Amino acid sequence: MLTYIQTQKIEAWFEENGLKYFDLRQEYVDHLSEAIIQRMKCQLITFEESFDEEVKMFNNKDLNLQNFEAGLGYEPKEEWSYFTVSRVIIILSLYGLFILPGILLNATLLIFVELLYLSAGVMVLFIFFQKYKAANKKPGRKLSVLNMDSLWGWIFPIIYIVFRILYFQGNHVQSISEEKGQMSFYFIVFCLLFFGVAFFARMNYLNDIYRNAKKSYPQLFKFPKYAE
Amino acid sequence: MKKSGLYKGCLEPIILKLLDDNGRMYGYEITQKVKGATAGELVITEGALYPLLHKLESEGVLEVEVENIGNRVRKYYSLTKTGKKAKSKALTELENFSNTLQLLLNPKLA
Repeated sequence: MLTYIQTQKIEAWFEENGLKYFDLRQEYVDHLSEAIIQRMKCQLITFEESFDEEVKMFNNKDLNLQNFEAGLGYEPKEEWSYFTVSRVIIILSLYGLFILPGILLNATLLIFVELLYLSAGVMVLFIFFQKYKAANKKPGRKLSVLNMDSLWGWIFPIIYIVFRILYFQGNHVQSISEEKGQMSFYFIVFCLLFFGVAFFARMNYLNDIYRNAKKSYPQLFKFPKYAE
Repeated sequence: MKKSGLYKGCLEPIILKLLDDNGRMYGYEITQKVKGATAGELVITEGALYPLLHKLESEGVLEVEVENIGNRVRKYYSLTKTGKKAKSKALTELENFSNTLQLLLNPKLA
């Protein structure tokens, strides 16, 4: 029986040699582990010696072919399935909410609108934290701030700050060239919003894949490295 | 497969037959079983075996069970109901192919 470290070494070898799909790598790890064990038994050699001998049997062509075949099922369109008509309307409405005050209101009123947005943002954050707290009674140290659930906690303040910076930049450009500056500013806001939503859509897509894989192959996720 | 390209088309019926005889098997086991049964004449490489197993799994011919083996996981393959039918069909085709070859190569025996 191989130790955890030895198994990790085998997996790292496949990862370094470009076998990027997790389930495929697990299958290869089992295959190579078994081959190493058999060689160790037959030739009475160490793990390292057996490992060095066995990896010679694998060539990059085979591994690349495996990667290629495993990736055949990938459908890029699925990543865009998040953008349903209703969501596109919501995104455009959000864009309008950001942009219209800048077009329609004067500077004094704009400050009030910004304060309103800030209050709404704080409220959204508060609701999020309440929900997060209820869902994760004892988050502990293991929880990453980069996971999907905690993302809302820090992404909104960042978006708001970026918005503020861009707003001042926009004003600056506007003072140089009235129309051109305003257009480029609105375009930046639109891009920011679009890429923000696209980022979440992709996270959502990857999360779905992860959940489905976990549901289909629970055994694969029982090791400490992959456990949540 | 190292020994001969002639075996290439026979890989699917061989795997289906093995799985039918042994119930469930994992990848390495299949390669070793084939190697042992043919006295090293037929060596199935991982590059040939796993894509085929995955293809058969996606077609519903094989089903998969995943088990923890020490510090790693192992995927066991077994035939589904469709797989059993596919096995019979594949073996019949292989037999017909073999008979046809006999007619060509050794007409007297055929």
